[in-house]
Amino acid sequence: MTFVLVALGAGVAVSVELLEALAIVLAVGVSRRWADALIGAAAATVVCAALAGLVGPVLLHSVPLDALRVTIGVLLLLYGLEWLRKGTLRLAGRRSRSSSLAEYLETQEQLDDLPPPAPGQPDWAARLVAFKGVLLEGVEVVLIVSALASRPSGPGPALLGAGLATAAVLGAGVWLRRPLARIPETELKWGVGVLLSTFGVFFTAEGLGVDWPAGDLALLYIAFVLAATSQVQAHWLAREPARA
Amino acid sequence: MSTLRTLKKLILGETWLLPVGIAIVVATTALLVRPLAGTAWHRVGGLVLLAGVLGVLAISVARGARPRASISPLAGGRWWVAWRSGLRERS
Repeated sequence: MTFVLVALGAGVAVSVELLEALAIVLAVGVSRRWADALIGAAAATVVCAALAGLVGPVLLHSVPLDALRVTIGVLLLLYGLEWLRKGTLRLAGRRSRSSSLAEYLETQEQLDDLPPPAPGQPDWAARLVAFKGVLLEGVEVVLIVSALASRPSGPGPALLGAGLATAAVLGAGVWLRRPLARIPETELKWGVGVLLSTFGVFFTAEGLGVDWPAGDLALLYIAFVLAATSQVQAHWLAREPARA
Repeated sequence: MSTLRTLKKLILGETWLLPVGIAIVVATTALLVRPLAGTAWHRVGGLVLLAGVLGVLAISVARGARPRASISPLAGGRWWVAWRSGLRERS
């Protein structure tokens, strides 16, 4: 069961991050030139791959097992609770919903203000926008997948989930050449927040010497309690009028 | 400055409340509750940590739902916030 939950957590986290990166690259490609968009994205991918090559082995080889569990747990809690906080506020209507399409349109608008690229000359502005977009989302992907893959039981499920998600998002991007407007990103991100926070609590406690009642099944009741707390607070905030 | 802000947002998130809250909860459970709980720690330690994390989440969401600053000098006593806000509204 842990295998499935880790693969699911990594897969959904990677797919929502890549959707945002893809929206930016598509906007650059459509508004400027595809070659410059792809060069910027490729450069950022190389930087992210180098970071992944550094972070994973450092976590695995230089930190003792219990300290590793606490480190991974705290890292996952940092990401998970941030996503869960934003997700709860979005579900309560206290924050705008997450949308790759909005990001796509915003990037297109930014690029429209720039002068068009000269023929035969590299379009550095477009490359930089694509690079920055992919790098920022990619670093989050690297940190989340590295944390999930550094579990003592092995990197298999995290890498499988991340690989499937990457293939799915890139395939959709190449096929549609537009961001996927109908994906419920707010709910997906909220779900990722619940999963990452669940793993964060589970691993941190294990690192501190806790034997969870019911073993790995604890993941289910931790997820339930986190999700229920967030939903109750979202409903309560949604009913309470926002004070100006 | 903007690079540092982006880096901070990337690693620690949008608010200091979460990283500080997580640090306090983990440090308190590890350094205070664990020695006090003795042998019971193995069974209840996880639930204590979970309760702390739920508290941090609830507080951070409640803070995020509040308006950023009071613009009433009487309510918040922050006359300079009201003054600056008024300036921004006028401009």
